[in-house]
Amino acid sequence: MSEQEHHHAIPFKFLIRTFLTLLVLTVVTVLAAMVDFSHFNDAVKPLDMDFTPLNITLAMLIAIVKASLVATFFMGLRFDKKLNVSILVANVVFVFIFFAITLSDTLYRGIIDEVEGKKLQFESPVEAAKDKGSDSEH
Amino acid sequence: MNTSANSTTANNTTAGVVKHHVAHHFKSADQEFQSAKLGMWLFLTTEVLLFSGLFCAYLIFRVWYPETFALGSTLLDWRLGALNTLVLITSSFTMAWGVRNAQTNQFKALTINLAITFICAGIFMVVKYFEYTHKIHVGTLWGASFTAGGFEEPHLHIFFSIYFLMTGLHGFHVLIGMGVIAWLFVRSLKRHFYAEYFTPVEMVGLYWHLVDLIWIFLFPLLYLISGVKF
Repeated sequence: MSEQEHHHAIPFKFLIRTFLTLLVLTVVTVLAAMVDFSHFNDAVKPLDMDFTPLNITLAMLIAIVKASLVATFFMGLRFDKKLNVSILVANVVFVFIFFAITLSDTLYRGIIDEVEGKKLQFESPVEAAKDKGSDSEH
Repeated sequence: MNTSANSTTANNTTAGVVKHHVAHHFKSADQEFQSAKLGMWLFLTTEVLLFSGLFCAYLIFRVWYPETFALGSTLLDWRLGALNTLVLITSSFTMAWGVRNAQTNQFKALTINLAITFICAGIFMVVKYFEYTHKIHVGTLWGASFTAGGFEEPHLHIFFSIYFLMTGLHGFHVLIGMGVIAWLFVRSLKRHFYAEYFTPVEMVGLYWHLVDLIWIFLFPLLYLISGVKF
């Protein structure tokens, strides 16, 4: 019986509550997408971007809560060893480092060009390939 | 199995199970289980990093071409995306319940929950099939294959490249998941899993929840960008 005690079966009430919360949050995220927050955007616009920061922020917050619920209860991290928890946490941290470093390049390319007093002609490789493709067709 | 009257009353719940033998290089069943779980979590990190490359591409192109993504999103049917979200969440729930069934020697419930999980995964793929065939029909495809006309927006092919790469890789994971869940289903019929041994159920469960987790992010990022209208 000592074998069994190592494997904590997750209580069913946690599973059903997690399931119901995930269903509710799916409805909430759809409802949140129906509301257009774009008229608030001038107040919160951090960069000169056209997409709606409030809508995407809300959608991502809900997604993060949903993902945390799945990891905590369905994947059982609530009852798991700290080592397994730390693997996932480190994983997420490194994903954010990956995003942050990449964005620090792609977001500020034009700005750096201005500081350096010259305009580097960055061309989208996708566009270039497409132009080339359409040229050869004609 | 011992079928004497004495042991059936005492050991009724595990009658008929195929006992698992701990591999010789492990000290105990628990060590074997924990090693498998550690390995599974490490594998899942590589899965997250694999998808994070695509999420990063999404991030870059969405920042560069926000109007493209806003328009591209309207060409996807959010109702199908929402349906698939509900289907995957349900399958994740039945999978987690299945792990609990194995831990508590509920053999029939385990088989049923695995079957429901498999069916939900199948529904997900059927919905994806209808979505993909529609896109092939109207020509909203990746890169140079984008043949749909009448759009002012010049970068739509990038949105659909990202859409097909992300949902395609995710769908591929769902298909693999269906395969391993079917394998668990057959083994559950043979009563290979019980309270002292359910390692494959737990590991497939972790994998399946990760597939669900990735879809939780894909759904709002692809389908809900420009709001939803009934």
